[in-house]
Amino acid sequence: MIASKKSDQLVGIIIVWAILVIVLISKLVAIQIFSVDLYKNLAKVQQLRKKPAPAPRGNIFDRNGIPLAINNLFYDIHADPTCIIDTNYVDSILCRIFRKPIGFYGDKINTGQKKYFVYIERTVPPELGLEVKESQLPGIFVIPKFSRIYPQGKVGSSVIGFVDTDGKGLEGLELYYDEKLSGKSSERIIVIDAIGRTYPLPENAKEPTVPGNDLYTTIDIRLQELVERELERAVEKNKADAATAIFLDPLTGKILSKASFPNYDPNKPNEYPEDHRRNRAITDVFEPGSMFKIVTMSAALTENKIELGDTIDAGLGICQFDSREVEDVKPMGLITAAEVLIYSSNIGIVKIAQKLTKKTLYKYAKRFGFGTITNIDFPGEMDGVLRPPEKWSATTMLTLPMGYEISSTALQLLRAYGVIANHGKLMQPFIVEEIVSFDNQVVLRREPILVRQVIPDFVADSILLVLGEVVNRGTGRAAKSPFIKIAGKTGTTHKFSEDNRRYDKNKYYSSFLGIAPVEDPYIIGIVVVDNPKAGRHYGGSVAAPVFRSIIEKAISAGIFASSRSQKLTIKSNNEYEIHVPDVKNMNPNQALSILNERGLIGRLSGVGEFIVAQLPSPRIKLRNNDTVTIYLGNNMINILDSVLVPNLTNLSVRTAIKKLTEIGLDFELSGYGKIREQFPEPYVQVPKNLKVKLKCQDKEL
Amino acid sequence: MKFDIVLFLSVLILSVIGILLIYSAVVDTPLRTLYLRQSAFLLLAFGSMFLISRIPLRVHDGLAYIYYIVILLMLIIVMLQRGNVHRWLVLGPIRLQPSEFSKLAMIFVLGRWLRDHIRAINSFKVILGSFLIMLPPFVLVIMEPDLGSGIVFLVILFIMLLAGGARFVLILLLLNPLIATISAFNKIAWVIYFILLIATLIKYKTRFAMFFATVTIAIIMGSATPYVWAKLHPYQRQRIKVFFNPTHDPFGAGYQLIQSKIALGAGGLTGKGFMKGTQTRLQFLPAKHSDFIFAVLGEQFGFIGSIIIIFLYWLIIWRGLTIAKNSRTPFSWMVSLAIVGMLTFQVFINIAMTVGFAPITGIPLPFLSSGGSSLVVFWSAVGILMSIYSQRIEQ
Repeated sequence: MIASKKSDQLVGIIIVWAILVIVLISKLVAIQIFSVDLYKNLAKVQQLRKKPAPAPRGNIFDRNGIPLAINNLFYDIHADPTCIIDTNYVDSILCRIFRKPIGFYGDKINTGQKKYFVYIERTVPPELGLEVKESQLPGIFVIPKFSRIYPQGKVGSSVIGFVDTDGKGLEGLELYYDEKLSGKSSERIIVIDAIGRTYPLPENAKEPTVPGNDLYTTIDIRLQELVERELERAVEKNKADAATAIFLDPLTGKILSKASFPNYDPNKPNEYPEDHRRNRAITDVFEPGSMFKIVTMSAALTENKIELGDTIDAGLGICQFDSREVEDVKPMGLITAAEVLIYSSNIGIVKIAQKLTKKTLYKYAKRFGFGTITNIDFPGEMDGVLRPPEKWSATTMLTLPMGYEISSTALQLLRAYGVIANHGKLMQPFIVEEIVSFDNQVVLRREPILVRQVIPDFVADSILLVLGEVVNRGTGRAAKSPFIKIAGKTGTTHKFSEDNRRYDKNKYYSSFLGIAPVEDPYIIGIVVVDNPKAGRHYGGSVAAPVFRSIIEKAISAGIFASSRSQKLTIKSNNEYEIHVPDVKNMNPNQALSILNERGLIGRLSGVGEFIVAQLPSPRIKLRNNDTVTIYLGNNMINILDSVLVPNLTNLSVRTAIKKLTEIGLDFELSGYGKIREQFPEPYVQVPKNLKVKLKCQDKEL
Repeated sequence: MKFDIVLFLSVLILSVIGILLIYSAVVDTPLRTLYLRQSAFLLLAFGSMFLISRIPLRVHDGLAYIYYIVILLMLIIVMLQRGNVHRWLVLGPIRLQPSEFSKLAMIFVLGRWLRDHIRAINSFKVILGSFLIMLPPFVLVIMEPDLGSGIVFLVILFIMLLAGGARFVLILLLLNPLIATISAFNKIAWVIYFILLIATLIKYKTRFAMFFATVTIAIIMGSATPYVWAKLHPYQRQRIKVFFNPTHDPFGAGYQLIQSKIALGAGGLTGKGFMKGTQTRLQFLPAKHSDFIFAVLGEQFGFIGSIIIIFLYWLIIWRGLTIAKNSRTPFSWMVSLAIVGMLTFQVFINIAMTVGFAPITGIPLPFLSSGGSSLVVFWSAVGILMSIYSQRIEQ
C-alpha cells in the first residue's frame, strides 16, 4: 500500500468525520442551548399537573363546643386521558365501583383523548373516593372537595347564616366572618409519569393551603333550641306573624341565643322564603314604648329630680298636657315613682320627665345606647332613630319619655336593659368569643368590653328591684315564676306600617324584656312577638309567659348550670326527668326506637345514613313526649371526638408518626423514605383512631 | 509500550459513564439490576480486549472463513427459534446477539477476501464477490429483524472496498440497487440520489451500457419500494415513517423522538444533574437504557456532557486512525479502518437519531448503550486495534 494513498484516504475520512461532528454539534446547540425554554416547557406540560387543594372552611361551635357548622368531605374524580394507556382496564374498575355498565367511563375518557381533564364523577362520598384512590388507576385523580353542613338544622340558623354553593358566606356569622372562616385554597402540583403514576413534588408549598379558622361562639345551642321551640309555640298560640328573641349574659355582653321564628334550614336555604332569613332582632326597628320608661326614670333618679318613694298623681287615667292628651290603661290615682314603672303609667312617666330638660333626657337616651348601633359582630345591624333635641317637635317631651318618637332594635333595647342588670354598666354585645386557627393558634380572643358606666350602680340596682316588682305584682305578672325571681318590663307598641308610612292602630309588637334572677342577674332576654292576632296583644300577656317558660325550662335542663346560677338552689322540677340518650353515629331506625323506649319523640332532619348530631344533647333532661331532633348525614363522624388530619407531606416517617399519635390517629405505612402521599388528605376532619394511610417514597424529583 | 493508553482510557471512561447512565435510567423500572449485568459484561469485555490484543492479527486472517461459517451457523440457529423476534442466542444465563458478533466476523472475512485479491480490487468479480460474501449474513439479520446491523454491514463493506483501493464509482454501481431502494422511501431523497448518481456516472465517464443499466436499476428499485414497504415489519415501517414526519402526532409515531428532544432540551447547557432527569425517571423517554442513552446523558449533563462524550469518541477515532495509518499490511489497514468506520457510523447514526436527524433504526451507541454483546464486540474491536498497534511496535 502506498503511503500517500493511505494519507489521502485518511484525509477523506477525517473530512467526513469532521462534517458529521459539526452537523451533530450544531443540532445539539440548537436543541440544548437555543430551544431550552421550549423543551423545558414541553417537559413541564407533560410531567406536571396542577390539582386544586381546597381549604376546608372553619367550623363554628357553640359555647360548649357543639358544632353549628362543619364540612362534609366529598371527592371529585377526573381522568387525564393523555396518560391512560389501558382504557378498558380503567373503565372496568370504575364501572365496578360506581355500578355503571361497562364502557360508560371508557367513552368519557375516549372522547377526551386530546384533553388533560375529563370529569368522571363529581361529589362522590368518601368511601367511593377511597375505593377509587386505592385502585391506583393510572391517570385517574381523586380531588377532595368540601361542602358545608349545619348539623343542627334549623336551630341557630338566624345566628349561623349559610354559604352559597361556592362556599362563600351569605348570611349571619358565615357572612360576617367570611374572610376568617374561608382560609386559603391553593393548588397542588404533582408530577406524573408516562404511565399515569403520580408523585407529589417535594417543594410544593409556595403558597400552601391554609384551612379556615374555627369560630367559638357564645351561643348556647341548647338554649337556642329551647328559645326557637318556645317562639314557634308563641307564634302558633297567638296567631302571630313572627317572633324574635335574644338572650345574653348582662355581665359580659355574650349573646347566648338569638332566635327568630319563622326560621329556615341553612342546609337548604333556597327552599325557604327570603323573609324567613331576616335577622329580626337586629334589623327590625320598632318603637320601644313602655320599655323605654326605665331611661326616663334612670335620668330623673340620677339627676336627683325624684326618688322612688315620691308620690306622683296619675289621676284618672287621662291627663291633658300642653298640646296632647296622655292616657293610661286604667286610672291609677296617687302612686309612687316606683309604681309608675310597676304599672307602666304613661301619665306618671311624662310627669317625671317634665322635671328634666330636653337635653338631659336626650343625653340619657344616648348614653343608654339608643340611636347608635351596638357594633355586634353580625351583619346588617340597624341603628334606629333618636333625634337630637333641636329636631324635636312640641310633643316630643310628652311622647319620648314613654318610648315614642324613638325607634330601636330588640338588641339595642336589650343592651340598654343590660345597664340595669349590670350595676349601671353598658356592655358591648358579641357572639364570637374566640377565633382559633387550624393549628390551634388563637387568632382573636374577645374579652367583655365595658362601653361606659351609664348610671351609678345604686340607681341601676334600685331600678332592678322595681323591675322585679313589675313581675311580682305589675304588668309583667305572667312572667312570675315559682323557681326563680324574674325582673322585667313589658312593652306593647303599634307596628309601623310600611304601606301607610304610619303606625298601624291594629297591629302590635308585644314585647317582654326580662332579667333573671333579680338577686344577681346572669341572664337577660327580650321576646318580641310580631302582630299577635289571637285577641291578646299586651306584652305582659303575650311575651312575658314565653320568657318565663324559656327561663324555667333552661334552668331545669341545666343550661345555666355552668353560670353563676350554681350558687342558687333551684328546685328540681319533677317533670323533667328523662335523660336524653346519646344516639350519635347510630342509624336512624335504631335511634328512633331508643328514643321511643325512653318516652321521647324523635324527629328526623336532613338526609344521610347516620346521625351526625342531636338536639338536645345527651346530658339534658326532658319531659315525657318531648321532641329530640336528630340530624342525618353521611359522615359517621362525631366532630367532638374528631381531629384534623395534619399535613404530613415530605415529613420523615418518624415525625409523621409522632404528629399522628399526638392527636390520637392511627397509621398504616407503605414504602420507604419520606411521606409522599397521605389519605385522607391534610385538614380533613376524621374520627379519632382512624388509620391514616401513608405512602412513602425515597425518590426526589 | 504495547498499549495505546489514550484509546484504552477513552473507552474505559465511556463504558463507566455508560453504566452510570444505565443505572439512572432503569433504577425506577423492573430492569433495576441492568447496570449490574452491564458491569459484569464490562469485565468480560475488558478480558476479551486484553486477550485479543495479545493475538497477532494474522491469526484472524487465517481463521477468517471459519469465523464466517460459525457466525452464519449462529445466525441460522437464531433464525430457527420460535416467535417473531429472533435476535438472541441463549446460552444458560447469557443471551448473546450473534448479529453484533457477526460485525467483527464480517470485517475479518471481507478483509481476507480483499487482501487475497488486492491487485484486482477494481475488477467486477472481486467487488461482486465481496458483495456476495456480505449478503447471507445481511439477509439473516434483516430477517431477525435487525435493520440496524444490516445497515452496519453495508457500511463495513463500503469502507473496506474504499480502503482496499476500489474505485468509488464501482462501489456506487454495486450499492446502487440498495441505495435506490432505501432513498425511494422519500421522493425528494430519491430524486436527489438520482441526480447525484447521474452526475457521478458522467464524471467517471462510464460506458453507455453501464450507464443505462445503472439508471434503469435505480428507477426499477425506486418504484419497487412500495411493494417492499408493504412487506416490512410494522415497527420497522413505523420507525421509518417517524423519520419522515416526526412531529405528526405527539402521542403516536413521533412520540419517541419528541420525548428524546425534550430530554435533551430540558437538560440545557449544564444538565439537571445526576439522577435528576425527570424525562428519564418518569418513563417518558423510550428505550432509554439502550437506543436513547444519549438523551439520558443530555438531560442529566446537558450540552457540556454531550460535547465531552463526543470528544471521547473523537479521541477513540483519532487513535484508531493513527493506528490504521501506521499499520503495515493491507489486511490490518482495511480491518482497522473498518473498525473505526463502524464505530463512527454507529456513533453518528445513534446521536443523529436522538436529535432527529436520522431514522430510529435501533443502532446502539457504542460503549454507552446497555447490551452485553455490543459492549464485548466493541471492546474486542479495540483489542484488535491494540493488537495492530503492538505489531507496529514489534516491527
